[in-house]
Amino acid sequence: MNLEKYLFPLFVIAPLLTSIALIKEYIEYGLIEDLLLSVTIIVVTLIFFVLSIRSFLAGKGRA
Amino acid sequence: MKEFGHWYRRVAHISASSFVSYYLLPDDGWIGILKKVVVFSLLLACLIFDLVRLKGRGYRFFCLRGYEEDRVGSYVYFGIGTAILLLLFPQQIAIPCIISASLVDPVVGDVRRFSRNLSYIVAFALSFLIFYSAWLTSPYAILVSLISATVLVLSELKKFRYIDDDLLMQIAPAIVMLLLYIILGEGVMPRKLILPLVEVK
Repeated sequence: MNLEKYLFPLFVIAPLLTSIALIKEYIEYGLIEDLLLSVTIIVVTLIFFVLSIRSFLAGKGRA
Repeated sequence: MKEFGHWYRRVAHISASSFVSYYLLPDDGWIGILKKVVVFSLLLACLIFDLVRLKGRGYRFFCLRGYEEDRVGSYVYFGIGTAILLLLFPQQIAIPCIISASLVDPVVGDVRRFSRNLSYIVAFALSFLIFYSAWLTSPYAILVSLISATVLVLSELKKFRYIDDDLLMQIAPAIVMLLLYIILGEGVMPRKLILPLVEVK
């Protein structure tokens, strides 16, 4: 049994939560750098999340 | 399911960008000591786990690459790089290095399947964006970002037998940025990117 499969949601949520924290820093202290970094992290994370879910569903469909 | 293993690996790599949340906790007081202990403990746990995996060979990650079965896993190299950056480098250097290493490597890996040259252009563009975003308030933002992004792409390009690119992509630009800081002086450093969420009294 590959238990590490169940870590997948954590791998998606962790960078998104970090990005939210960075956006909070932007709102609170006006650090524009944090906004730019968080947008980059969110975009890349979501692209790979969608691709992995698509491949997971395709795998289920074939099975 | 093999294809999902590929994407799982990519998402796990990207999730490493969340290690910068280390700076959301203050450096002072007991929290400052505790967060350093946690980083060191996690690295040690990772090393022991990989040692057990290599010795016993009983447990195999479903997303582990074939060539990693008999050598130290890439995640250990990534962990060593991140721990060095978090514990020894200023956050203005550590943050862009950790984020770019965690995001650029998966993107490059997949763009390379279409075109090798395009993958290096994308790697350079993405890492430049990250370094420039982090160093926005520095008077040398463009210069530092150009040099750091170039070093990062070069460290991804060159493959070594015993040093994984996951380590090199973090440490090589960090050393170059540190050298630039020493050469150009204190004025080169931008303001802090992440301020602690809580304060220790």
